Amino acid sequence: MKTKELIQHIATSTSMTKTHAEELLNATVAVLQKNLLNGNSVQLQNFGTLEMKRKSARVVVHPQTKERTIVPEKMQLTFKPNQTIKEQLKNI
Amino acid sequence: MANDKLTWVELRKAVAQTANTSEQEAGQFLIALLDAIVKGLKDDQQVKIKGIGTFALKAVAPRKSVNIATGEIFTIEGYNKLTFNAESMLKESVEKRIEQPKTEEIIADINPDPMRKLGEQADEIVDILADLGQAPSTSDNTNRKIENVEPTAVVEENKNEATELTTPDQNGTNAIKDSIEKEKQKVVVAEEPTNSNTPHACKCKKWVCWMIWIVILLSIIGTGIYFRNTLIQWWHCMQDCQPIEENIEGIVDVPEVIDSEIIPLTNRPREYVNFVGIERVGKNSRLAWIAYKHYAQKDLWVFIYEANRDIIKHPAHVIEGQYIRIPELSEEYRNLYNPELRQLVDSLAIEYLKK
Repeated sequence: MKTKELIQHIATSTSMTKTHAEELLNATVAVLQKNLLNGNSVQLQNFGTLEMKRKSARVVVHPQTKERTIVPEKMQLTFKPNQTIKEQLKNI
Repeated sequence: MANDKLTWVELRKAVAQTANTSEQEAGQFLIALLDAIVKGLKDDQQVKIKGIGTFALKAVAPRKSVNIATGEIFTIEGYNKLTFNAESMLKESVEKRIEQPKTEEIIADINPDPMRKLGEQADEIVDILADLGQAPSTSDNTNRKIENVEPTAVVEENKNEATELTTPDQNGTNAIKDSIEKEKQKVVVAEEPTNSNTPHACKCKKWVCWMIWIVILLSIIGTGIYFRNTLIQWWHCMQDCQPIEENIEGIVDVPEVIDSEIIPLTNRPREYVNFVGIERVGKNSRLAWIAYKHYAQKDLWVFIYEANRDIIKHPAHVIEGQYIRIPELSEEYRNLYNPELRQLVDSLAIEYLKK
């Protein structure tokens, strides 16, 4: 499902106009981006949490040349699904 | 950098503020959004949101496990896992957000110590060198002093004895001289063994060397005698067997040819007799998705298509509600690290998709 279909679906289910739904979606995306980049974790009800996590540096070995290189430490966006959503999607 | 948790209420408030609407509407919208995402996941297995990333379902294949307490083998059933993949732009901007000051602090904490230690070490080395520079002269001096001191002391003692002894009797002087000579001889005798120690050791070493050489020679001769027959045979072989070896090589070539006939997977006929199960095609499902579900390899859809050629007209257009048989694949046809199988799968995929 792409963003357009998502907007269409939301608009039909909540009886909003498409443009309004798009505005709200853009607003949520902006809020999520701003908060995530500031290091805040965002909790979504009955869905999961989005969080920025620190990944420590590690050594990677090239399988053919056996060359060892260090991947520097970095931040990564992680998503941890909620238990309810896990159960819902386990068998479909 | 703040590390707070943005709760549902705060999120609702923030969205309402940025979109200039009421909180109630924002809350409604967010609930609808999450519902839509869940529905999209159920229908399409993935939902893409512009600006954040994609939520996707990933099938985890069933696997065998052992109950540690009882040693019983049981299968963990396959399930779908919800994964999230951030958009590349967001990923990049997130990656740059490494907390710089922390690393600097760590460096600042770590660095001074070794420097100080190095400095201390350098000082110590300098002191040791200074000691070493002075030591030889001082030690030599002390040794010399000791050497100088001892004989004089002995002489003085002797003189004292002599003076003490000369006074009572003149005959005693001869006895004293004898005693001094004896002492000198003793000293010489005492010195001799110290000097003679080194040549003695040398002789011993020479003896040991000779003994080792003799033992080695004897062992070589012994082994020569012991393996005489085999050596003779080997020598004969070296002279005679060369043409035979060539013959052997000629014979060896034949099985290689047979092996090469066995190996190629491309020429072998594929028969699908055993089936693992029957799968109903879901909405928007693909053959690759089904292959991934059962074999954990998307590229193996080719074999599923081959087994269901009578039902499926084109591999790219699978009709919803169709029942597809899933063939049982041997290990040979599952190992995609085998370049031959990879080539076969790729060529088959191109062939079937061209139709």
